[in-house]
Amino acid sequence: MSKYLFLFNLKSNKILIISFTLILTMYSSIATGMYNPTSVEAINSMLDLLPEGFAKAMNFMGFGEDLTTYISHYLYGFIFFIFPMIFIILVGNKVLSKHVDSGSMAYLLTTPHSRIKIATTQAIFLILSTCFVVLFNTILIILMSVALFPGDLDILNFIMLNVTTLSVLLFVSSITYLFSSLFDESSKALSFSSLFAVVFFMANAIKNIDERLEFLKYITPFSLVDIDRILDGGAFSYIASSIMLFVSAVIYYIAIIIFDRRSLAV
Amino acid sequence: MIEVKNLTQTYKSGKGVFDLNFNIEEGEVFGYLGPNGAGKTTTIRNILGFANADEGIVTINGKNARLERATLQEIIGYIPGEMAFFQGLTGKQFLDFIGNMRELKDKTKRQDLVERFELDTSSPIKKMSKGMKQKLGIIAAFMHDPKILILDEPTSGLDPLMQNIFLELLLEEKKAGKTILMSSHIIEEVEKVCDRAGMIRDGRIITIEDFSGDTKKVEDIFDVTLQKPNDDILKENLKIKHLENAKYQISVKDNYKEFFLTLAKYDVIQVTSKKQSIEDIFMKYYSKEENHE
Repeated sequence: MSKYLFLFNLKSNKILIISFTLILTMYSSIATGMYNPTSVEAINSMLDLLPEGFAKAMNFMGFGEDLTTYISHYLYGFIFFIFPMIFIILVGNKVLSKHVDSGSMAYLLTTPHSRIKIATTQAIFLILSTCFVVLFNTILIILMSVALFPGDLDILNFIMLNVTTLSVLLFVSSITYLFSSLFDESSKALSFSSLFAVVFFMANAIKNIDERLEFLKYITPFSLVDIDRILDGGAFSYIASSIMLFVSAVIYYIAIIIFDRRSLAV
Repeated sequence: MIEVKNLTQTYKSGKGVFDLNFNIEEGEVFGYLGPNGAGKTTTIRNILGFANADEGIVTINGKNARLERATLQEIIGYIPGEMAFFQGLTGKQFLDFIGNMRELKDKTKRQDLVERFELDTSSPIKKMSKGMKQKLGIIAAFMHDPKILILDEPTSGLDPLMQNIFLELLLEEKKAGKTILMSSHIIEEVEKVCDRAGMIRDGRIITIEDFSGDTKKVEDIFDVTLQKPNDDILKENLKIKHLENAKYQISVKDNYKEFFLTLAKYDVIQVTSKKQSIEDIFMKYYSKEENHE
C-alpha cells in the first residue's frame, strides 16, 4: 500500500466522503432524536393504514416497541442501503476505472510501484472510506441513544446489525471494484455496478410483497440484513457477515489480480 | 539498453504493431517517426510495460519491461502523448504528488525546469492551456533526472520558442549520456537531435535511418518566385518543379552552392522554405521501395 496514493485519494474524495457521511448523520440523528415511546405507537398505527404491499416494499413493517427495533427499522431497511451504495459506486468507479479511462493511470504507472500495490491501495481506500461513512453513524447513533435514552439501546445486537449491514455493503463494494478494474471505459464500469446495485436493492424491496417473489431473497445480499433475526441475537449475524466478508475478500483479490495482468491502453 | 524483439500487438480494429524489431543503445537518441495511428504509442506502451504484447518482448537493461515495470520506472521518465492529469490539482500539487510517489527528495532539477519553461505551477491544471499542460508533463518526466527518457510527441502544443527550449534541454540530456526515445511526426526536430530514427507506418517499421553522420538525409524544399515565368530555370542542374505562373519548387540537399549560384542568375522576388510533412518523407521511402522491386 502506498501512503501518498492513499492520501491523494482522500483528498480527491473528501467531498464525497463528507457529504455522504452527513446525509446519513442527518437521518441518524433525526431518527434517534425523534424516538419517543408514545409516538412510536402513533407511527405504528399510522403504518397500519398504508397498503400492505407498499409498506413491505419500503420495509416499513412496523417500527417495533423499543428504541433498538425502532431505529433499526427506520434506518436499516432503506437509508443505510441506498446512500452508502451510491457512495460506493461513485468512489469505486473513481479509484481505478476513471484513471484508466482518462489516461491519468499512466501517471500512476510511471511511478516505481507495482500494479498490485497500486490496486491494493485503491481497494483499501474504497473499503476504509465505506467503513468510515457507515461506522461514523453507528457510533453517533449509539452515543446519542446513550445520552438521550440511557439503557434503552441493545448495544451489542445493534452493533451486530451494523456489522452485517457493513459486510453486505463491502460485498457490493467488491463487485463495484471488480468492474472498476475490468473496464477501460468508466461509463461501462459505472453501468455494470449500478445495474447490480439496483437489482440487489429492488429484489430486496419486492421480495416481501408476495409469496411468489420470495425466491428473490436468494439473489440479493441485502436479505441477510434480517433485522428481527439479528436483533434476537444468536449466531445468524456472525455467520452472515463472515460469509459476506469472505466472499468480498475473494472478489477483491480476483479484481486486483485481473488489474495486474490485463493490458492497459493508457 | 532498450531492446524490442518481434513485438506484435493487434487491436480488435486490426490496427496495432506487427513484428517490430529494434534496439536503442545506451546514450543514444532514437527518433520514432510516423503518421498518426501508425503504432508509435502502442510501441511506447509496450516499452513502458503498460500493455500486454500478443507476441514478442521488450527488455530494458535485460529486464522484461512488462513484468519488471515497477523497478524499471525508477530510471525512466515518460511524457505521454495525451496529457491526462488528475482532476482538481494545481501544477505544484501534481508535481508534489508525483515527486512523493517517486520518493524524490532533491527538487533542484524540478525548480530549474519550472524556471526554464516559465511555468506558473500555482494555477489549477484545469485552467491551464495545452502548452502549459505540456510543460507540466515535461517537468514531471525530467524532474527525477532519469537515465531513460521515453517521449511521446513531446513538442506538441508548445510554441516555437518553447519547442526550441525543449530541444536544447534534450541536447543537454543527450550530452549527459541519457538514452532517449522520442516519437514525433515532425522530421526536422528528429533530425536535429536524434542519432537514428525508426520510421513506422501501419504498424511496421519501414526503415531505420542514421542521422548521426555528416551527410544530410533530408532535403530542404524551397518555393521560389521569379519576377516573371522563366522556364529556363527548369533546365538547370537542380531538382526543380514548376508549380504555377512564376513559382517553382526546388529541393536542396547538400548542394546549396549550386542553389545560390543558380538563383543569382534569375530575378528572384521571393524564397520561402517549406516544411516537409511526414507524408512527403514516407512517399520518398515508398517510391524507393517500389524502385527496388
